[in-house]
Amino acid sequence: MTGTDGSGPRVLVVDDAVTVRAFSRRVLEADGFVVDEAVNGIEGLERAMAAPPDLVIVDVNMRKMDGYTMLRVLRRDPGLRDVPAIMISTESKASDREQALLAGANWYIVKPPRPEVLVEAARLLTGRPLGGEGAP
Amino acid sequence: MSELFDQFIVEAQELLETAGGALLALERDPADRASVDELFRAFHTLKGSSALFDMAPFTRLVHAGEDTLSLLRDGRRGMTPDLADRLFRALDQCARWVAALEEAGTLPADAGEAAEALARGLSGGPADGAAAGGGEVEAFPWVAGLTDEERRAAGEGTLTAIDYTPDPDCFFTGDDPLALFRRVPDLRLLRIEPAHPLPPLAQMDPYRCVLRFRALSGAAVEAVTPAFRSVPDQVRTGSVTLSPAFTPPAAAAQGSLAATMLEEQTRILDLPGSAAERESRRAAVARAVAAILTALGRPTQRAAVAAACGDVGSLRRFLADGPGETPAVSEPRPSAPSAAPRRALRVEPERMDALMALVGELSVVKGQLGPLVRRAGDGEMARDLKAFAARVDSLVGDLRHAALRLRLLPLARVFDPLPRLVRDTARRLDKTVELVLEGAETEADKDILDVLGEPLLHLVRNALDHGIEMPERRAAAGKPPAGTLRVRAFQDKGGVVVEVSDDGAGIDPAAMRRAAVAKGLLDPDAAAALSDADAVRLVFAPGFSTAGSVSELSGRGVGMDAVRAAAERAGGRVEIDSTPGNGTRVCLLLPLTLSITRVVVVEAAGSLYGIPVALVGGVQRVKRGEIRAVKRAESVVLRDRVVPLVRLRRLLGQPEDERARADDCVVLAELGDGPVAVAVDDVGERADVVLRPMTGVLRGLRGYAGTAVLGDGRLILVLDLRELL
Repeated sequence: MTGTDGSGPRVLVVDDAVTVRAFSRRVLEADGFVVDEAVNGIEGLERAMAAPPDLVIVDVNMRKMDGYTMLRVLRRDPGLRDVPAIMISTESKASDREQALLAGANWYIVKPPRPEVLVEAARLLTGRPLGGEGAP
Repeated sequence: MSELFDQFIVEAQELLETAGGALLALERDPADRASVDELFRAFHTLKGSSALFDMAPFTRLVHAGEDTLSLLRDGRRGMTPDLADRLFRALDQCARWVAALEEAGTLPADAGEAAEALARGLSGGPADGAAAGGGEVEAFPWVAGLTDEERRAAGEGTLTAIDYTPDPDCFFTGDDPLALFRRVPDLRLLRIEPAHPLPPLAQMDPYRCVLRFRALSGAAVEAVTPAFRSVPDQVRTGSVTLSPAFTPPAAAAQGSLAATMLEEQTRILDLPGSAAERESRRAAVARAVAAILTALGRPTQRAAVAAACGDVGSLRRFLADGPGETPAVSEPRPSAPSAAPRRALRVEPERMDALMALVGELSVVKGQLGPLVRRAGDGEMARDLKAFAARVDSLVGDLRHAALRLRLLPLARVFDPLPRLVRDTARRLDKTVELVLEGAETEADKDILDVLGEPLLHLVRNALDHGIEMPERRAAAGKPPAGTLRVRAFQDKGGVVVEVSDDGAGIDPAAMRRAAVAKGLLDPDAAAALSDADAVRLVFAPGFSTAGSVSELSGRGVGMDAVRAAAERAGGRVEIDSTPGNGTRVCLLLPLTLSITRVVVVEAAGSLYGIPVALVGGVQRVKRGEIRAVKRAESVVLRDRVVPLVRLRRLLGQPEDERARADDCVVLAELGDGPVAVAVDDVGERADVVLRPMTGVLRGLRGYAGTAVLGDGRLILVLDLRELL
């Protein structure tokens, strides 16, 4: 699913913590992804609708609109409902993971993610070959 | 990763500030849901962000804060002043740590213990087992602060913790601390740290031991203690239980993540929900499965995957059988430009100053165009010149304004600490105080804000300490039990005014007179002659308000002379008025900027002088007959007050004005001790000048703040009236 113009898959990172966003951006961009950011669910949906991403990575707790709500709305939108989604949270309980999947996430990662884990999950969910450099 | 670290510092500072504000609001109104949420989110975000770095104690503390807030949010715990104190302490600690992180890049050595103590305080009980484990962990708080790596090294289960702070002279008594640890069975972790902050290298005595040792052993306490037989007084041991180290769930081997992820997609198909929900989940799963297979080098047709995603069983079979070989093709999507976050531009202060100086010079040079235009007469060229001058004039004005604005910051910066200060001080004093902040958006030069901060805190503290009465006394006086402290800022006459007023006891002028006499500052007659307003103004006299007893007498505290001095250093002044029983109002009047001084130009004996506008209370003409002379001292009644009058010519050692005049031109100078009328030959325009301090041989000259060039090129001396009088 890599763009032919040399740019990698687009990942939308939705998190209210600027440090976490910066971390994800750094890690993903280093692996050839194109990263877009949003600070809450509403902004995340706006960005996703403006330019559908190949993957969304969503935090749980955000003001204005939390990650669960954002994923539910995303899954109801005809143009976005199949966009793969990773939910990322500081909680490691099974019930939190379950809630994320119920809301529409395809995968759940406990914060703080290790860079290689984040990259591997992003590659898998965007269909990029594991190992080696990004663009084919 | 240092950029990321910097980002964290900024984010943490902002979050801590937000959290402080929310906590204040929450304490005032425990039912304030928005503030609970705000506070929770701040702790939560700090937890997530700090976990990206190696600062386990920080994460531990904000985690405890988050847990506490979560209980508050669910109504399982109530807000109390005591809990607010603990939360404030936690926030303060975090703020100090952030400062340390910014400074040194790491947390201080005692952070683990501090985090543990504060976290325990928050939970109101022993540390929770999940993070710290059981046993005697409390006796070894550092155990709870272990980094994940250390925790993994130590392993889980019951361990023996060792705290050993060798005697500084141990090298002379034959103890070798490190050798002792070599005898400890099953040593899993050894931390060697400075016992106290290390002294500068030059003061270090290499023959003294400045370290402490902390260790964990897998052996039982009884097996460990014999190693330290020779130093029993310097060692503490005890058993602690460590819970399993937190290992990221996906530390698993390469490739198996894909398998787990595929399994998870299968499971998602089985999750409950409405038909619509399940349908959209199916679509998401189909796309995710196709992507995962593609990533694994097994490209599949989307339609085939979608068909297989009908139910769990068919997807399982599909994945097990291995899908077909047709590569999935998708449209390449143009990537939208990502919006760059707005960033504030940081400029070196020296460059800013250089720009301001240039703008100042330009204003002065521009001023010289005016006389030139006048001299040019009426010709066509003169008209062009005039138009040109007008254009330059307006552009320079705009430029000056723009340059000045670059340095302007909202007063919110100095207002921000006030709610917390008021809250803490009021609580300490058992008073109830409502703080009203107005005009936080008022802007002033950064230099002025820097000057303003300290005196403002001082005034607020004083008002709380000595102005506002205890609730009982207020009730007895028929006032509401809660005092009101109002801090108001606004722009006025090209300067900024900050007003601190309270509805407290006010200042009793009679008590002030008595105190001034008792302290030997005034003789009884002079004290009696003071107007009430002047008596109140005695609080600004140096040496007046240093004794604790004065505060009780006067209702004002220590250091008002320092407030006055700070205001005056910035080219401003301070005013006070007070009504006994009704409260006190203190006004700080400061210029907008330190770079450009606005002066009133006055003339004396043929020379021009400048008096900073901030000191000028008014300009007027007084009839000679109204000036009263007692011996050589003159005075005049202005605005119903007897004001001493001085003549600038005399002050400057110039000959008396011989001209016969019916009246004198007087500038009313507002100095801290009260107004003084300064008689001058003439008063000219007000002008903005760049003040240049006296240099060289002139430096020693007293009475002058510096020199400045007027718009038309004329030189003036700017007076330092306080020194002159």
